[in-house]
Amino acid sequence: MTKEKFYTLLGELDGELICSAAHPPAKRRSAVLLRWASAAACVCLIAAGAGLWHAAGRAKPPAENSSAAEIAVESGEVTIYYTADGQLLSRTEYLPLTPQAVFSCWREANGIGEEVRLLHTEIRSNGTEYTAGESAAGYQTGDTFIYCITVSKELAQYCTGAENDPLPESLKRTMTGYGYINYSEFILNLE
Amino acid sequence: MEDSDIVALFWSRDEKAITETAAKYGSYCSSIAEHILGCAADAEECVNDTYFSAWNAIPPHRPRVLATFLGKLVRNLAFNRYNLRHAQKRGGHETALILDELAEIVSGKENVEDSVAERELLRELERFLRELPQEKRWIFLRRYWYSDSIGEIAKQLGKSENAVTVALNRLRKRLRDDLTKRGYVL
Repeated sequence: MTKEKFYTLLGELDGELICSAAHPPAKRRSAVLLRWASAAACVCLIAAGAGLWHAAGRAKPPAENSSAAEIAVESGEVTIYYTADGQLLSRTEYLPLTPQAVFSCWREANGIGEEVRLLHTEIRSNGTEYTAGESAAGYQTGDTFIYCITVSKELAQYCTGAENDPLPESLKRTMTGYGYINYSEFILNLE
Repeated sequence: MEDSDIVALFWSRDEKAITETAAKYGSYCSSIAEHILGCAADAEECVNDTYFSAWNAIPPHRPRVLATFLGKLVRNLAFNRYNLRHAQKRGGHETALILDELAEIVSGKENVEDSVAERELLRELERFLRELPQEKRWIFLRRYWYSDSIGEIAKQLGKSENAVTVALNRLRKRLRDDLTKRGYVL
């Protein structure tokens, strides 16, 4: 093969790959800094958890502007699931650990247009509904959690409607796979 | 304006589609064309051709991601123009360097590749790229898809040009070895 033909062939690469290179990758912090940040976040989470326990009882949602929530808006490795030729594949991206950032990356990876938006996220735990802010920090472990997300109805046009359509599954795995919580259920609403 | 709204303008044959496309993606397209052609005037003509091609292609196409659709159009048009100019021995220094780098991966022989074999090779290239760490994938695509210079890539990453050159050398070797292992002799 000639180099010109190879260059032309590279031009046909999947749009999702091309989009992924539109902006420079997020800079990683050094491992030492990351360890210190993680340790600091743990200390703050414990302190915030203890404070919540004493002040408001176990079932209260964390304040979104609490120090725990702020610190927990970290970047990290997120597994993004996407579909290609009817198969469910995955890749790892370094992203802010927020529902919007993860959803945007999932949307891009699946070649879904910007008209599809993440409208609302909510975590239900033991009968209490929390509005998921930009962080999942502060929730108690050991409880059961249901992750509910509302996405604009335009998503439907990208789904095949078949029972084994891998697209909803890729969204479920992506959105429930990062962070600290093990979700027992995932509910997707279109609006 | 959202991509879907711009595409809707193309579909309704509203010429505002061109001005909205130029407003949102003009600099993006110009950047790709300039990198390949190395000449602002040629790049501008190429970008205008891109809008014209998009006008002719939508409808029937309904691109889901307009940026990639336009990016592919402008890259192809610019490279065709580069080949024409190269035959006349004019300009396109960066593209000549990129092609020389890619020559390390391919034999340079004119093979008769059918479209099916090319699609298979493309899938292998996509698999290879998806398996790379994010930064390595970004470097490869910026160099060989967006045709960025080594200096631009280094600046964006906050690394030295030498570090980027070494990374690209390793990536080319890794790609060649990977393809060879899978039975592709290009």
